[in-house]
Formats: sequence, C-alpha cells, structure tokens
Amino acid sequence: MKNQKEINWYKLDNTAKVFPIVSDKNLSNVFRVAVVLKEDIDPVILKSALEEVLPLFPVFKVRIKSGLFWYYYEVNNKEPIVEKEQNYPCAYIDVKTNNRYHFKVTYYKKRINLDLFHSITDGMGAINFLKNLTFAYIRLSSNQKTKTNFVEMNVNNELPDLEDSYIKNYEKNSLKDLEVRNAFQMKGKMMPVSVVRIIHSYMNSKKLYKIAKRKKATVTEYITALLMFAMYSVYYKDSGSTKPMIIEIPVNLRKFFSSNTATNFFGLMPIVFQPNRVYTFDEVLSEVSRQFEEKATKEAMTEQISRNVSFEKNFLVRIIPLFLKKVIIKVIYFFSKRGSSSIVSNLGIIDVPREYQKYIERFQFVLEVTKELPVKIGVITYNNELELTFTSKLYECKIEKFILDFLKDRGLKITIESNGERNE
Amino acid sequence: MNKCKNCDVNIACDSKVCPLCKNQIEGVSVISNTYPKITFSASKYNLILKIYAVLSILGILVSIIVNLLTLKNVLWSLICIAGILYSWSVINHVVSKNYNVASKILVQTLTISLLIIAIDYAIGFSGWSVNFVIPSLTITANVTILILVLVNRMKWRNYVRYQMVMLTLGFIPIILYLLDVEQVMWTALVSAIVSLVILLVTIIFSDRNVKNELKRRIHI
Repeated sequence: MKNQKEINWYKLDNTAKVFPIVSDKNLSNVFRVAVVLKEDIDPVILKSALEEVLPLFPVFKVRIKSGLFWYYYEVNNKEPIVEKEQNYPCAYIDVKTNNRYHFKVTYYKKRINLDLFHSITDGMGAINFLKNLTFAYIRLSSNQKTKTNFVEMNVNNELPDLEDSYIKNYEKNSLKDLEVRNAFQMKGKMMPVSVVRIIHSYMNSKKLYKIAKRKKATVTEYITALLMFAMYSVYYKDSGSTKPMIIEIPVNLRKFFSSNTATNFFGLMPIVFQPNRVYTFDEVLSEVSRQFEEKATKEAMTEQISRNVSFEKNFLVRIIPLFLKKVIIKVIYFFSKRGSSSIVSNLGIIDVPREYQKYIERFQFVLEVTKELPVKIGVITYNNELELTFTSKLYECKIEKFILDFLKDRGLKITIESNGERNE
Repeated sequence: MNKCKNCDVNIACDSKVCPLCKNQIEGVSVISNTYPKITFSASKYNLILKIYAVLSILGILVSIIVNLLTLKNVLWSLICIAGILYSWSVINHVVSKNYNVASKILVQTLTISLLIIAIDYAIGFSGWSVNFVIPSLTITANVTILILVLVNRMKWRNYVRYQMVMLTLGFIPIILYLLDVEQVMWTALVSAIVSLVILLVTIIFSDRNVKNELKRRIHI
C-alpha cells in the first residue's frame, strides 16, 4: 500500500460555500486578472513558473469534493494546465476538463490571463497569485538572478493564512432584518451565453484622481456615480421604472478587521439611487459619496458578515444534506439575481518591485456579466495608468460611450482596446 | 495607434470600426488584435442525445396510446416507459466518464430495482421482484464493491460513501419483509447479514485514513 500520507483538507470560507452550488454556464462566478508584458509569452516558461509558484499557494492548489452536508477542499496533486486563450474571459470553468483546478492560466500574445473561480479567493488573493506568477515568469525568462521578492499575504512565513475571517469577525446576535428589494436592470438585445464584449479603457490615473478630488470624491465613488448617471441617462430615464438602481461595490474587508487571510474576505456595499426628478451628475456624485461614507464602515460590514455567517451556522441549515441544500440555495439565488443593477469593482493601485517594473506593461481586471447584470466595470491601476474595463453582454454600447465621452470631456486622454466581439 | 475621430479616443487594437460608435476608423498603423477569435464547435454528441430524447418522448407517448387503445387491462406500456427511462440512466451515468465505478454500481442497483419492480407491477405483481431480484441485487452490489475495495485499496477513499449507502440499502429487503411487502424471509435475511458482515469488517479493518475520510465527508 503506497500512499498512506494524510491528505489535507479545508472547509470552504463563508462566501465560497455558495459559489459551487449556484455556478453554471449562465453564472460562472469566474473573474479574470491579467498582466500584459512587453514580449510574447513563452508557454513553456509560463508552465514552469506556474509549477514553481502553485505549491506556495495552497488556496489555489485544491480540488473540490462533496461531503454529506457541505462541499470541502482537498489538495489537488494533478498537473496544472497552461494553454493558449481559447474562450471568452470569465467563462465557466469545467473542472473535469481542467485537472480539477478552479482556475485557468492562459496566454495570448503578450498577455497572461488568470481566470479564477470565486470560491478560491477574491480579487486581492487573485492579484497576489498573479503577481507572484508574473515575477516567477520574468525571472525564468530573463534568466536574471533577481532577488526573490514574494509578496506574502500571510504574516507567518511558514503557514499560509487560511483563516475564515468571516467566522472570526462575526457577531452572534446582531441580526437586523434584511431589506430585500428588486433593482432596476438594463435590458436590450443580448449576446449568447458566455459571449461578451470587453472594452478596456486606459487613462492617466493621477488626472482622474484630481478630477474626483475636486468634487471631494474618491476615484471609486466617481466611477460609481458615473455608471449610475450613465444608467440613468441611457436606460432608466425613459423606462418609467419605479425600481431603484443599485450598484454593488465589493469592499476589501482585510483592512477593517486586520485580517491577512488568503481566502475570500470581502463585503458588498449597495449604492442605491432612485431618482424622482432630473439629477445633475454632481448631485448623483454627492449622493453616492454620502452612501459610501455611511456604508463603508466596520459596523455596516460587521452586520453583513454576521448575517451571512449566522445563516451558515444555523443548526437547521447545517443539518440539511448537501443535495437538498443545493436545491434550496439555487432557489434563493434565483431571486437574489434581481437585487442589483450592476457592479463596480476597484482593485486599487498595484505595486510592483522596481526590478520587475520594466517588464510589465499593465494589469487588467475583467468581471463576468449575466443576463440580469449585463454591464459591469472592473478597475485596476498600475504605473499611473488607470485601466477601466467594461464587460458587456448587450449589443448596444451606449453605457461605455456615455462614460468615456464624459471622461474625455473632462480632459482625460483615453485609449481603448476591445476583444472585437460584435464590432462589425 | 489608430484613432476614432468621432469619439476622440485612441484605439489600441485591430478593430476596423470604432467599438463605441461603430464608425470607420482612420487608421494609419497596422495594429494586431489582442484577443483571439473565438469559435464554438457544436458537439455531435449533443445532437445524438437530442435526437434520442425526442425518440424517447415519442416512444413513451406511442406506447401509452396503443396500450390504452388495445390491451387496456395489462399495463405493458409501463414496461416500455421504465425501459426507456432506465436507458437514460445508463447514458447519463454509466457511459459518462465523470463518475467512478462504485457510484455506477450504486445507481445501477437503484435503477435496475425500479425497472424490475415496474415490470413486475405491469404483469400483475406476483412479488418476484421484491422477493428475489432486489435482495440478489443488493447482495451482488455489496460484494462487488467489497471486491473493488480489496483489489484497489488506494481508491477506497473515493468509494467509501457509495459503499456506506449501498450497505444501508442492503437492509431494505428485511425492512420490506417486516412491513409485509416482501414475503420470502431467507433472501431478505441473507441480504441483511451480508451487509452487516461487510460493515463490521470495514469498521474493524479501517485505519486512520478511513476514519479521516469519513470525518471530512460528514463535517457539518
């Protein structure tokens, strides 16, 4: 008998528990972070880099298994796959054809893509992995003896931080009633399943920061208000809808709770807008800023965490077998699909050690879209360039045009790049 | 770098029209595309399955109609329907490479049992299905899984939950006997004894890995 070594296993964190249950071709729950280098990618070197880096990230080196009551993770000992990009960004990852891994590393010309299933980790965790993969690739391909400069998420260098920070930081009895509302959703002719149009737009981040600061707002608030204003002007105004427009903003909770976990730890902040008259952009922006200040707080986030964890810890919920849980949660999720209009996610400014900077052109961040939320925005900044990516299932390009026209009119020089979908 | 005069933005990819306003781009430089062209190839397998699905539905409808029009007191269409449904369990589960052997044995035991009961019911329910066939199926399945486990000890972790379910099913004939659905005692008894023995053997000879596997499978 050969293999007596005990194989490690991990429970899924609080948000991760839902994703395997509700994900399919129509809702992949996959997001993409990508890095564009200055030369074409060599797949052999990329594979070596991945094999070097993956063991240091046990959160990625897993396969999912079904327990009687919950899914759980076990170490995945199969070989990770590196292949040429052959599908749309954020497409559903079929683990059966992917050696059971929940992420895909692909390449196309000068770009390395990391498509990641959200039950593994969030944007921060993904960027950390991508950075390390990129550094390893650069080291291997340039043959330089550059100092190993791993950006660790965990404080302890030996064990990666697998803490479920949700459970660590929830409060037992703070269950206020959750207000459930249906949000306004953009409608129009949509592309088939998993087909999306990507438009990357690049602009000077310092300039945008100044423009936002003049209106006493952060860049995220500015972009959120701009999307809200665009949705209002293009779709909402003439729709006669009485539902509110709700944009959800993912918030990195690590700084609120001093966590350094490598697994998911984010909250969703809903920014609500229900105009009953004509608003100017500045009015929208001040309302958005006000809501950011009110909702991006430790108290508000603790309440959200507590609600979710209490649900998971509820004895009745735990005792239901997995196959029944799947049915129930799918039903709940079906109704929650109408709970928001769009998402704006900002991964912030990406720092890169100086010795690697000259090899890296830019980073990109692409979100997945669905029929209910057909347009989303992902933002990432590197080297004073802010990259704002629109993912859209709508044939119409009005939101993108409105937003980019608006920014251009305020003095920003904009470059765009598209994946060419439905451009003819 | 190309430019769209209408939108006043630079275009860093090979689009011939502006992605935003669909106007022609005035391009001097030749820029390559930054995304591959995606083409989906329709799977032939799916087409065959769809055809078979239509044929199945037709078959079921035709057999019901003919049954009701001709030999109304013998529900032979039930046999056709059960057979067609069973064929789908074979296609989805047995032929698929996504399921391991133990799960296929378990599912086959269940589906064949249902098929046999349907046939028995259609021809008047003399009880041979529950009296003889089902206990034989559970005994065979349990012994088969046991042999599987003994021959390939490494895969035991993957088989354990199917084995547990199958062992539980081995007790069903004796329950049916106590509920008076089954009439023949010795078949039910043998099935229960085989299950019990295998269960005890498994527990006694299981090592730490086995207990670990069970712990993680049933964690709440």
